[in-house]
Amino acid sequence: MTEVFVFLIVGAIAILSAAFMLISENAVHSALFLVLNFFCVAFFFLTLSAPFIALIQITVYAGAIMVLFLFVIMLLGAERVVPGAGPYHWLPRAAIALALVFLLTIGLAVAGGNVNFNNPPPPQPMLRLIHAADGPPFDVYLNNQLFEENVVYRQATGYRSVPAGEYAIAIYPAGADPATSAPAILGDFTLTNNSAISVAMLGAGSTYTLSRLVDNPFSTGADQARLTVLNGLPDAGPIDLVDPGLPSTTDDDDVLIASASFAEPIGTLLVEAAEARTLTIRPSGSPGASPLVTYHDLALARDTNNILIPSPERLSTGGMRVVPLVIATAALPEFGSPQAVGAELYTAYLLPFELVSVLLLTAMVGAVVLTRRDLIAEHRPRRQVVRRPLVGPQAASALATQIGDQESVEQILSEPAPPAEPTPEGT
Amino acid sequence: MEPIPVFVPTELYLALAVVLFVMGALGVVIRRSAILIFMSIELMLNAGNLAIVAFARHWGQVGGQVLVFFVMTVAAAEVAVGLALIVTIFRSRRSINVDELHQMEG
Repeated sequence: MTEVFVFLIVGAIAILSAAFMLISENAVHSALFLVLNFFCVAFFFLTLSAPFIALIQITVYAGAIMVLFLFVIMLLGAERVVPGAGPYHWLPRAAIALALVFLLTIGLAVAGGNVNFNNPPPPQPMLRLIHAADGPPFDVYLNNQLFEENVVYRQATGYRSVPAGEYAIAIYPAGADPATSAPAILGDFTLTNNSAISVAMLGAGSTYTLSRLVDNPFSTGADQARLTVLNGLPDAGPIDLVDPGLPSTTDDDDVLIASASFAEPIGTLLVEAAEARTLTIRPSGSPGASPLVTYHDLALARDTNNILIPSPERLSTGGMRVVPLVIATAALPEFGSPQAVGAELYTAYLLPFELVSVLLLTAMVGAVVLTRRDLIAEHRPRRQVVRRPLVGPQAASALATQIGDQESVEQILSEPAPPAEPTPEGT
Repeated sequence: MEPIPVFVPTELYLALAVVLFVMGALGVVIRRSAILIFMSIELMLNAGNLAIVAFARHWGQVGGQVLVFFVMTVAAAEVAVGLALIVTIFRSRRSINVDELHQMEG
Protein backbone atom coordinates (compact mmCIF):
# COMPACT_ATOMS: atom_id res chain seq x y z
CA MET A 1 0.00 0.00 0.00
CA THR A 2 2.95 2.34 0.53
CA GLU A 3 3.35 2.64 -3.21
CA VAL A 4 -0.26 3.73 -3.65
CA PHE A 5 0.14 6.33 -0.89
CA VAL A 6 3.27 7.72 -2.52
CA PHE A 7 1.44 7.74 -5.83
CA LEU A 8 -1.46 9.68 -4.33
CA ILE A 9 0.83 12.24 -2.69
CA VAL A 10 2.91 12.86 -5.81
CA GLY A 11 -0.27 12.86 -7.91
CA ALA A 12 -1.74 15.53 -5.66
CA ILE A 13 1.42 17.59 -6.05
CA ALA A 14 1.17 17.19 -9.83
CA ILE A 15 -2.46 18.31 -9.92
CA LEU A 16 -1.86 21.21 -7.52
CA SER A 17 1.14 22.45 -9.47
CA ALA A 18 -0.90 22.29 -12.68
CA ALA A 19 -3.68 24.27 -10.99
CA PHE A 20 -1.24 26.89 -9.71
CA MET A 21 0.23 27.10 -13.18
CA LEU A 22 -3.24 27.89 -14.51
CA ILE A 23 -4.17 30.57 -11.97
CA SER A 24 -0.80 32.22 -11.41
CA GLU A 25 -0.69 35.89 -12.45
CA ASN A 26 3.04 35.83 -13.07
CA ALA A 27 4.19 33.90 -16.14
CA VAL A 28 7.51 33.04 -14.47
CA HIS A 29 5.67 31.44 -11.55
CA SER A 30 3.55 29.51 -14.04
CA ALA A 31 6.68 28.19 -15.76
CA LEU A 32 8.21 27.13 -12.44
CA PHE A 33 5.02 25.34 -11.39
CA LEU A 34 5.06 23.55 -14.73
CA VAL A 35 8.65 22.43 -14.01
CA LEU A 36 7.44 20.98 -10.70
CA ASN A 37 4.67 19.20 -12.58
CA PHE A 38 7.19 17.77 -15.04
CA PHE A 39 9.29 16.43 -12.16
CA CYS A 40 6.20 14.69 -10.75
CA VAL A 41 5.48 13.12 -14.15
CA ALA A 42 9.14 12.04 -14.37
CA PHE A 43 8.69 10.33 -11.00
CA PHE A 44 5.65 8.49 -12.39
CA PHE A 45 7.72 7.38 -15.38
CA LEU A 46 10.23 5.91 -12.94
CA THR A 47 7.51 3.99 -11.12
CA LEU A 48 6.20 2.74 -14.49
CA SER A 49 9.56 1.02 -15.24
CA ALA A 50 10.56 3.69 -17.75
CA PRO A 51 13.81 5.09 -16.30
CA PHE A 52 15.10 6.20 -19.70
CA ILE A 53 11.96 8.20 -20.47
CA ALA A 54 12.03 9.66 -16.95
CA LEU A 55 15.54 11.03 -17.44
CA ILE A 56 14.65 12.37 -20.90
CA GLN A 57 11.65 14.05 -19.31
CA ILE A 58 13.86 15.86 -16.81
CA THR A 59 16.64 16.83 -19.20
CA VAL A 60 14.55 17.73 -22.25
CA TYR A 61 11.29 18.96 -20.76
CA ALA A 62 12.15 20.34 -17.34
CA GLY A 63 15.58 21.37 -18.60
CA ALA A 64 15.72 22.52 -22.19
CA ILE A 65 12.11 23.35 -23.02
CA MET A 66 11.30 25.17 -19.80
CA VAL A 67 14.53 27.17 -19.95
CA LEU A 68 13.44 28.23 -23.43
CA PHE A 69 10.07 29.30 -22.04
CA LEU A 70 11.63 31.28 -19.20
CA PHE A 71 14.07 32.87 -21.60
CA VAL A 72 11.29 34.06 -23.92
CA ILE A 73 9.22 35.34 -20.98
CA MET A 74 12.18 37.36 -19.72
CA LEU A 75 13.14 38.52 -23.22
CA LEU A 76 9.67 39.87 -23.93
CA GLY A 77 9.16 41.24 -20.44
CA ALA A 78 5.86 39.41 -20.36
CA GLU A 79 5.93 38.34 -16.72
CA ARG A 80 2.78 40.17 -15.71
CA VAL A 81 -0.24 38.42 -17.10
CA VAL A 82 -3.67 39.82 -16.30
CA PRO A 83 -5.88 36.80 -15.79
CA GLY A 84 -9.35 36.50 -17.17
CA ALA A 85 -10.50 39.81 -18.69
CA GLY A 86 -10.72 39.85 -22.44
CA PRO A 87 -13.97 40.26 -24.31
CA TYR A 88 -15.35 36.93 -23.10
CA HIS A 89 -16.12 37.17 -19.38
CA TRP A 90 -18.18 34.01 -19.40
CA LEU A 91 -15.43 31.89 -21.00
CA PRO A 92 -13.54 30.70 -17.88
CA ARG A 93 -16.69 29.67 -16.06
CA ALA A 94 -18.09 27.91 -19.11
CA ALA A 95 -14.79 26.11 -19.71
CA ILE A 96 -14.56 24.93 -16.10
CA ALA A 97 -18.15 23.71 -16.22
CA LEU A 98 -17.48 21.83 -19.46
CA ALA A 99 -14.33 20.28 -17.99
CA LEU A 100 -16.24 19.11 -14.91
CA VAL A 101 -18.97 17.64 -17.10
CA PHE A 102 -16.31 15.84 -19.14
CA LEU A 103 -14.64 14.37 -16.05
CA LEU A 104 -18.05 13.40 -14.65
CA THR A 105 -18.89 11.61 -17.90
CA ILE A 106 -15.68 9.62 -17.77
CA GLY A 107 -16.29 8.82 -14.10
CA LEU A 108 -19.83 7.65 -14.83
CA ALA A 109 -18.64 5.51 -17.73
CA VAL A 110 -16.03 3.84 -15.52
CA ALA A 111 -18.42 3.46 -12.59
CA GLY A 112 -21.10 2.03 -14.83
CA GLY A 113 -18.76 -0.71 -15.98
CA ASN A 114 -18.75 0.43 -19.58
CA VAL A 115 -14.98 0.51 -19.73
CA ASN A 116 -13.22 -2.78 -20.24
CA PHE A 117 -10.01 -3.01 -18.23
CA ASN A 118 -8.43 -5.97 -19.93
CA ASN A 119 -5.75 -7.68 -18.02
CA PRO A 120 -2.70 -8.14 -20.17
CA PRO A 121 -1.90 -11.66 -21.29
CA PRO A 122 1.11 -13.22 -19.57
CA PRO A 123 4.30 -13.08 -21.61
CA GLN A 124 4.60 -15.96 -24.04
CA PRO A 125 7.22 -18.61 -23.48
CA MET A 126 10.50 -18.12 -25.28
CA LEU A 127 12.31 -20.98 -26.93
CA ARG A 128 15.77 -21.44 -28.34
CA LEU A 129 17.84 -24.35 -29.54
CA ILE A 130 21.39 -25.29 -28.75
CA HIS A 131 23.28 -27.63 -31.04
CA ALA A 132 25.82 -29.39 -28.86
CA ALA A 133 25.95 -32.71 -30.65
CA ASP A 134 28.93 -33.35 -32.86
CA GLY A 135 27.21 -33.65 -36.19
CA PRO A 136 25.78 -31.93 -39.25
CA PRO A 137 23.52 -28.85 -39.13
CA PHE A 138 19.90 -29.48 -38.28
CA ASP A 139 16.46 -28.15 -39.19
CA VAL A 140 14.06 -28.01 -36.28
CA TYR A 141 10.33 -28.61 -36.67
CA LEU A 142 7.76 -27.78 -33.99
CA ASN A 143 4.43 -29.57 -34.48
CA ASN A 144 5.46 -30.25 -38.10
CA GLN A 145 6.11 -26.53 -38.69
CA LEU A 146 9.58 -25.38 -39.55
CA PHE A 147 10.81 -23.47 -36.50
CA GLU A 148 14.52 -22.95 -37.03
CA GLU A 149 16.59 -23.67 -40.08
CA ASN A 150 20.18 -24.80 -40.32
CA VAL A 151 21.22 -24.80 -36.68
CA VAL A 152 24.97 -25.27 -36.70
CA TYR A 153 27.03 -27.34 -34.26
CA ARG A 154 28.31 -25.36 -31.25
CA GLN A 155 25.79 -22.61 -31.73
CA ALA A 156 22.60 -21.44 -30.08
CA THR A 157 19.71 -19.74 -31.85
CA GLY A 158 18.14 -16.55 -30.55
CA TYR A 159 15.10 -16.69 -28.30
CA ARG A 160 11.77 -16.73 -30.11
CA SER A 161 8.36 -16.33 -28.57
CA VAL A 162 5.93 -19.17 -29.20
CA PRO A 163 2.42 -19.68 -27.85
CA ALA A 164 2.23 -21.79 -24.71
CA GLY A 165 1.19 -25.40 -25.14
CA GLU A 166 2.30 -28.93 -25.89
CA TYR A 167 4.87 -29.30 -28.58
CA ALA A 168 6.27 -32.19 -30.51
CA ILE A 169 9.76 -31.37 -31.63
CA ALA A 170 11.38 -33.13 -34.56
CA ILE A 171 14.91 -32.54 -35.71
CA TYR A 172 16.01 -33.40 -39.22
CA PRO A 173 19.34 -33.02 -40.95
CA ALA A 174 19.46 -29.62 -42.61
CA GLY A 175 17.63 -29.48 -45.92
CA ALA A 176 15.93 -32.85 -45.48
CA ASP A 177 12.30 -33.15 -46.47
CA PRO A 178 10.31 -34.10 -43.35
CA ALA A 179 7.74 -35.89 -45.46
CA THR A 180 10.17 -38.47 -46.76
CA SER A 181 13.16 -38.64 -44.44
CA ALA A 182 13.36 -39.89 -40.89
CA PRO A 183 14.01 -37.44 -38.07
CA ALA A 184 17.26 -37.58 -36.16
CA ILE A 185 15.53 -36.94 -32.83
CA LEU A 186 11.94 -36.70 -31.68
CA GLY A 187 10.78 -35.23 -28.41
CA ASP A 188 7.74 -33.88 -26.61
CA PHE A 189 7.65 -31.05 -24.14
CA THR A 190 5.33 -28.49 -22.65
CA LEU A 191 5.89 -24.74 -22.75
CA THR A 192 4.22 -22.62 -20.11
CA ASN A 193 3.83 -18.86 -20.13
CA ASN A 194 6.43 -16.71 -18.45
CA SER A 195 9.31 -19.06 -19.12
CA ALA A 196 12.42 -19.20 -21.24
CA ILE A 197 13.43 -22.64 -22.41
CA SER A 198 16.54 -23.89 -24.14
CA VAL A 199 16.40 -27.22 -25.89
CA ALA A 200 19.86 -28.68 -26.31
CA MET A 201 20.81 -31.47 -28.68
CA LEU A 202 23.42 -33.70 -27.10
CA GLY A 203 25.27 -36.79 -28.15
CA ALA A 204 27.65 -37.87 -30.81
CA GLY A 205 27.69 -40.21 -33.72
CA SER A 206 24.16 -41.18 -34.58
CA THR A 207 22.50 -41.25 -31.16
CA TYR A 208 21.19 -37.89 -30.07
CA THR A 209 19.42 -36.80 -26.92
CA LEU A 210 17.31 -33.73 -26.26
CA SER A 211 17.72 -31.87 -23.01
CA ARG A 212 15.40 -29.14 -21.79
CA LEU A 213 16.84 -26.28 -19.76
CA VAL A 214 14.86 -23.62 -17.96
CA ASP A 215 16.75 -20.36 -18.44
CA ASN A 216 16.69 -17.02 -16.77
CA PRO A 217 17.58 -14.81 -19.73
CA PHE A 218 17.50 -11.53 -17.81
CA SER A 219 20.13 -9.38 -16.25
CA THR A 220 21.94 -10.65 -13.16
CA GLY A 221 21.77 -7.18 -11.64
CA ALA A 222 25.22 -7.08 -10.10
CA ASP A 223 28.67 -7.67 -11.53
CA GLN A 224 27.94 -11.34 -12.00
CA ALA A 225 27.59 -14.03 -14.61
CA ARG A 226 25.33 -17.08 -14.67
CA LEU A 227 26.89 -20.52 -14.92
CA THR A 228 25.07 -23.72 -15.77
CA VAL A 229 26.51 -27.15 -16.39
CA LEU A 230 24.87 -29.51 -18.83
CA ASN A 231 26.51 -32.91 -18.97
CA GLY A 232 26.81 -33.91 -22.58
CA LEU A 233 28.88 -37.03 -21.98
CA PRO A 234 26.64 -40.10 -22.25
CA ASP A 235 29.24 -42.54 -20.96
CA ALA A 236 30.99 -40.58 -18.22
CA GLY A 237 28.37 -40.72 -15.48
CA PRO A 238 27.71 -37.73 -13.22
CA ILE A 239 30.28 -34.93 -13.34
CA ASP A 240 31.38 -32.07 -11.08
CA LEU A 241 32.36 -28.54 -12.05
CA VAL A 242 35.54 -27.72 -10.16
CA ASP A 243 37.49 -24.54 -9.69
CA PRO A 244 41.09 -25.73 -9.33
CA GLY A 245 42.07 -22.34 -7.93
CA LEU A 246 40.02 -22.85 -4.76
CA PRO A 247 41.82 -24.28 -1.74
CA SER A 248 40.76 -27.84 -1.15
CA THR A 249 41.22 -28.92 2.44
CA THR A 250 38.56 -31.57 2.33
CA ASP A 251 37.49 -33.54 -0.68
CA ASP A 252 34.92 -31.33 -2.30
CA ASP A 253 35.65 -27.76 -1.22
CA ASP A 254 36.56 -26.79 -4.74
CA VAL A 255 33.40 -28.14 -6.33
CA LEU A 256 31.15 -25.41 -7.73
CA ILE A 257 28.40 -27.56 -9.18
CA ALA A 258 28.13 -31.17 -8.08
CA SER A 259 26.97 -34.36 -9.79
CA ALA A 260 25.41 -33.35 -13.06
CA SER A 261 24.01 -36.46 -14.71
CA PHE A 262 23.89 -36.88 -18.46
CA ALA A 263 21.41 -34.45 -20.09
CA GLU A 264 20.26 -33.25 -16.68
CA PRO A 265 20.78 -29.51 -16.29
CA ILE A 266 21.90 -28.49 -12.82
CA GLY A 267 20.62 -25.36 -11.12
CA THR A 268 22.19 -22.11 -12.21
CA LEU A 269 25.05 -20.63 -10.24
CA LEU A 270 25.82 -16.92 -10.02
CA VAL A 271 29.55 -16.25 -10.08
CA GLU A 272 31.63 -13.11 -10.08
CA ALA A 273 32.25 -11.83 -13.58
CA ALA A 274 35.82 -12.60 -14.60
CA GLU A 275 37.90 -12.02 -17.69
CA ALA A 276 39.63 -15.35 -17.53
CA ARG A 277 38.78 -18.16 -15.18
CA THR A 278 39.96 -21.72 -15.42
CA LEU A 279 37.41 -24.39 -14.54
CA THR A 280 37.62 -28.12 -14.86
CA ILE A 281 35.14 -30.95 -15.19
CA ARG A 282 35.88 -34.21 -13.39
CA PRO A 283 33.91 -37.34 -12.60
CA SER A 284 31.65 -36.81 -9.63
CA GLY A 285 32.81 -37.98 -6.24
CA SER A 286 36.40 -38.67 -7.20
CA PRO A 287 38.52 -35.75 -5.98
CA GLY A 288 41.79 -37.27 -7.04
CA ALA A 289 40.73 -38.13 -10.55
CA SER A 290 42.21 -36.29 -13.47
CA PRO A 291 39.80 -33.83 -15.09
CA LEU A 292 37.75 -34.97 -18.04
CA VAL A 293 38.14 -31.60 -19.67
CA THR A 294 39.46 -28.17 -18.68
CA TYR A 295 37.99 -24.82 -19.58
CA HIS A 296 41.08 -22.65 -19.94
CA ASP A 297 40.73 -18.89 -19.42
CA LEU A 298 36.97 -18.92 -19.65
CA ALA A 299 35.63 -15.38 -20.10
CA LEU A 300 32.67 -14.83 -17.80
CA ALA A 301 31.42 -11.41 -18.83
CA ARG A 302 28.96 -9.44 -16.79
CA ASP A 303 25.27 -10.13 -17.44
CA THR A 304 25.88 -13.25 -19.49
CA ASN A 305 24.40 -16.71 -19.30
CA ASN A 306 27.07 -19.33 -19.74
CA ILE A 307 26.09 -22.93 -20.31
CA LEU A 308 29.07 -25.27 -20.04
CA ILE A 309 28.45 -28.39 -22.07
CA PRO A 310 31.36 -30.86 -22.03
CA SER A 311 30.55 -32.99 -25.03
CA PRO A 312 32.17 -35.80 -26.96
CA GLU A 313 33.60 -35.24 -30.39
CA ARG A 314 34.82 -37.82 -32.83
CA LEU A 315 38.37 -37.54 -34.03
CA SER A 316 39.35 -38.27 -37.57
CA THR A 317 41.47 -41.14 -36.29
CA GLY A 318 38.35 -42.80 -34.97
CA GLY A 319 38.89 -42.05 -31.28
CA MET A 320 36.82 -39.76 -29.11
CA ARG A 321 37.75 -36.70 -27.11
CA VAL A 322 35.87 -34.36 -24.81
CA VAL A 323 35.58 -30.76 -25.97
CA PRO A 324 34.86 -27.84 -23.65
CA LEU A 325 31.78 -26.35 -25.26
CA VAL A 326 30.44 -23.05 -23.94
CA ILE A 327 27.22 -21.36 -25.01
CA ALA A 328 27.46 -17.78 -23.76
CA THR A 329 24.61 -15.34 -24.42
CA ALA A 330 24.20 -11.79 -23.24
CA ALA A 331 21.27 -11.24 -20.92
CA LEU A 332 18.15 -9.76 -22.47
CA PRO A 333 17.64 -6.09 -21.57
CA GLU A 334 15.01 -5.44 -18.92
CA PHE A 335 11.72 -3.83 -19.82
CA GLY A 336 12.10 -0.09 -20.25
CA SER A 337 15.86 -0.06 -19.80
CA PRO A 338 17.85 2.22 -22.11
CA GLN A 339 19.13 -0.89 -23.93
CA ALA A 340 15.60 -2.09 -24.61
CA VAL A 341 14.40 1.33 -25.79
CA GLY A 342 17.52 1.82 -27.90
CA ALA A 343 17.22 -1.60 -29.50
CA GLU A 344 13.61 -0.85 -30.39
CA LEU A 345 14.54 2.61 -31.74
CA TYR A 346 17.23 1.29 -34.01
CA THR A 347 15.35 -1.75 -35.31
CA ALA A 348 11.58 -1.42 -35.52
CA TYR A 349 11.39 2.38 -35.39
CA LEU A 350 14.40 3.42 -37.44
CA LEU A 351 12.41 5.25 -40.13
CA PRO A 352 10.29 7.30 -37.67
CA PHE A 353 13.49 8.08 -35.80
CA GLU A 354 15.06 9.52 -38.95
CA LEU A 355 11.87 11.42 -39.80
CA VAL A 356 11.79 12.97 -36.35
CA SER A 357 15.41 14.07 -36.68
CA VAL A 358 14.58 15.74 -40.01
CA LEU A 359 11.60 17.39 -38.32
CA LEU A 360 13.84 18.76 -35.57
CA LEU A 361 16.24 20.13 -38.15
CA THR A 362 13.38 21.77 -40.02
CA ALA A 363 12.07 23.29 -36.79
CA MET A 364 15.51 24.68 -36.03
CA VAL A 365 15.78 26.33 -39.45
CA GLY A 366 12.17 27.49 -39.18
CA ALA A 367 12.78 29.17 -35.83
CA VAL A 368 15.78 31.03 -37.24
CA VAL A 369 13.88 32.10 -40.34
CA LEU A 370 10.88 33.30 -38.32
CA THR A 371 12.84 35.41 -35.87
CA ARG A 372 15.34 36.88 -38.35
CA ARG A 373 13.15 37.68 -41.33
CA ASP A 374 14.60 41.19 -41.58
CA LEU A 375 18.13 39.81 -41.77
CA ILE A 376 17.18 37.46 -44.59
CA ALA A 377 15.41 40.27 -46.49
CA GLU A 378 18.57 42.39 -46.29
CA HIS A 379 20.70 39.69 -47.85
CA ARG A 380 18.34 39.11 -50.75
CA PRO A 381 20.13 40.20 -53.97
CA ARG A 382 18.97 43.61 -55.24
CA ARG A 383 17.34 43.78 -58.63
CA GLN A 384 19.79 44.95 -61.28
CA VAL A 385 18.94 48.38 -62.75
CA VAL A 386 19.30 48.16 -66.52
CA ARG A 387 20.26 51.36 -68.28
CA ARG A 388 18.71 51.62 -71.71
CA PRO A 389 19.07 54.31 -74.39
CA LEU A 390 16.04 56.50 -74.89
CA VAL A 391 15.43 55.27 -78.45
CA GLY A 392 16.25 52.04 -80.18
CA PRO A 393 18.71 51.76 -83.10
CA GLN A 394 15.94 51.46 -85.72
CA ALA A 395 14.20 54.65 -84.59
CA ALA A 396 17.62 56.37 -84.45
CA SER A 397 18.51 55.51 -88.04
CA ALA A 398 15.07 56.71 -89.15
CA LEU A 399 15.72 59.97 -87.34
CA ALA A 400 19.17 60.28 -88.90
CA THR A 401 17.81 59.96 -92.45
CA GLN A 402 15.20 62.60 -91.68
CA ILE A 403 17.59 65.07 -90.03
CA GLY A 404 20.64 64.16 -92.07
CA ASP A 405 22.85 64.63 -89.05
CA GLN A 406 24.62 61.43 -87.96
CA GLU A 407 26.54 62.92 -85.03
CA SER A 408 23.62 64.25 -83.03
CA VAL A 409 21.79 60.96 -83.49
CA GLU A 410 24.80 59.05 -82.10
CA GLN A 411 24.83 61.43 -79.16
CA ILE A 412 21.19 60.66 -78.47
CA LEU A 413 21.97 56.96 -78.71
CA SER A 414 24.89 57.06 -76.30
CA GLU A 415 23.02 59.12 -73.70
CA PRO A 416 21.65 56.72 -71.10
CA ALA A 417 18.17 56.91 -69.74
CA PRO A 418 17.81 58.14 -66.16
CA PRO A 419 17.73 55.17 -63.77
CA ALA A 420 14.26 53.74 -63.33
CA GLU A 421 12.56 54.17 -59.93
CA PRO A 422 13.30 51.06 -57.91
CA THR A 423 10.02 49.27 -57.30
CA PRO A 424 9.20 49.02 -53.59
CA GLU A 425 9.75 45.46 -52.43
CA GLY A 426 6.70 43.76 -51.14
CA THR A 427 6.95 42.31 -47.64
CA MET B 1 10.62 -14.72 -17.23
CA GLU B 2 10.88 -11.61 -15.15
CA PRO B 3 7.47 -9.92 -14.85
CA ILE B 4 7.28 -6.13 -14.88
CA PRO B 5 6.71 -4.98 -11.29
CA VAL B 6 3.26 -3.48 -10.78
CA PHE B 7 2.80 -1.51 -7.57
CA VAL B 8 0.08 0.94 -8.57
CA PRO B 9 -2.71 -0.18 -10.92
CA THR B 10 -2.78 1.28 -14.40
CA GLU B 11 -6.25 2.76 -13.82
CA LEU B 12 -4.89 5.27 -11.28
CA TYR B 13 -2.27 6.50 -13.74
CA LEU B 14 -4.96 6.87 -16.39
CA ALA B 15 -7.18 8.85 -14.03
CA LEU B 16 -4.31 11.20 -13.22
CA ALA B 17 -3.50 11.57 -16.92
CA VAL B 18 -7.13 12.46 -17.69
CA VAL B 19 -7.20 15.09 -14.94
CA LEU B 20 -3.92 16.65 -16.07
CA PHE B 21 -5.07 16.64 -19.69
CA VAL B 22 -8.34 18.38 -18.84
CA MET B 23 -6.44 20.99 -16.82
CA GLY B 24 -4.19 21.60 -19.81
CA ALA B 25 -7.20 21.99 -22.08
CA LEU B 26 -8.74 24.39 -19.56
CA GLY B 27 -5.56 26.44 -19.62
CA VAL B 28 -5.69 26.70 -23.41
CA VAL B 29 -9.25 28.01 -23.25
CA ILE B 30 -8.98 30.27 -20.20
CA ARG B 31 -5.59 31.93 -20.43
CA ARG B 32 -5.10 34.77 -22.90
CA SER B 33 -1.32 34.90 -22.95
CA ALA B 34 0.19 32.98 -25.87
CA ILE B 35 3.07 31.75 -23.70
CA LEU B 36 0.69 30.35 -21.08
CA ILE B 37 -1.34 28.67 -23.80
CA PHE B 38 1.87 27.02 -24.98
CA MET B 39 2.64 25.83 -21.45
CA SER B 40 -0.87 24.38 -21.20
CA ILE B 41 -0.27 22.48 -24.44
CA GLU B 42 2.92 21.07 -22.91
CA LEU B 43 0.86 19.97 -19.91
CA MET B 44 -1.56 18.16 -22.22
CA LEU B 45 1.27 16.45 -24.09
CA ASN B 46 2.71 15.32 -20.76
CA ALA B 47 -0.61 13.88 -19.67
CA GLY B 48 -0.76 11.97 -22.95
CA ASN B 49 2.78 10.69 -22.41
CA LEU B 50 1.87 9.51 -18.93
CA ALA B 51 -1.07 7.52 -20.31
CA ILE B 52 1.08 6.00 -23.06
CA VAL B 53 3.79 4.91 -20.62
CA ALA B 54 1.15 3.45 -18.30
CA PHE B 55 -0.28 1.45 -21.20
CA ALA B 56 3.22 0.40 -22.26
CA ARG B 57 3.74 -1.17 -18.84
CA HIS B 58 0.24 -2.64 -18.84
CA TRP B 59 0.84 -4.54 -22.06
CA GLY B 60 4.55 -5.08 -21.62
CA GLN B 61 5.42 -3.32 -24.90
CA VAL B 62 8.52 -1.13 -25.08
CA GLY B 63 7.10 0.42 -28.25
CA GLY B 64 4.98 2.73 -26.10
CA GLN B 65 8.07 4.22 -24.53
CA VAL B 66 9.57 4.76 -27.98
CA LEU B 67 6.37 6.58 -28.95
CA VAL B 68 6.76 8.85 -25.91
CA PHE B 69 10.31 9.56 -27.03
CA PHE B 70 8.94 10.71 -30.39
CA VAL B 71 6.22 12.80 -28.75
CA MET B 72 8.88 14.59 -26.70
CA THR B 73 10.93 15.28 -29.83
CA VAL B 74 7.93 16.70 -31.66
CA ALA B 75 7.08 18.80 -28.58
CA ALA B 76 10.61 20.23 -28.58
CA ALA B 77 10.31 21.12 -32.28
CA GLU B 78 6.88 22.64 -31.70
CA VAL B 79 8.16 24.77 -28.82
CA ALA B 80 11.09 26.04 -30.86
CA VAL B 81 8.87 27.17 -33.75
CA GLY B 82 6.06 28.39 -31.48
CA LEU B 83 8.28 30.55 -29.33
CA ALA B 84 9.91 32.00 -32.45
CA LEU B 85 6.41 32.92 -33.67
CA ILE B 86 5.58 34.52 -30.33
CA VAL B 87 8.76 36.59 -30.42
CA THR B 88 7.97 37.73 -33.98
CA ILE B 89 4.38 38.61 -33.11
CA PHE B 90 5.54 40.50 -30.03
CA ARG B 91 7.95 42.52 -32.13
CA SER B 92 5.29 43.74 -34.54
CA ARG B 93 2.32 44.00 -32.14
CA ARG B 94 3.99 44.70 -28.75
CA SER B 95 1.57 42.17 -27.23
CA ILE B 96 1.12 38.41 -26.98
CA ASN B 97 -2.50 38.53 -25.88
CA VAL B 98 -4.26 36.17 -28.26
CA ASP B 99 -7.50 38.16 -28.08
CA GLU B 100 -5.77 41.08 -29.77
CA LEU B 101 -4.40 38.93 -32.56
CA HIS B 102 -7.56 38.61 -34.61
CA GLN B 103 -6.18 40.12 -37.78
CA MET B 104 -4.43 37.99 -40.36
CA GLU B 105 -2.41 40.85 -41.82
CA GLY B 106 1.01 41.50 -40.37
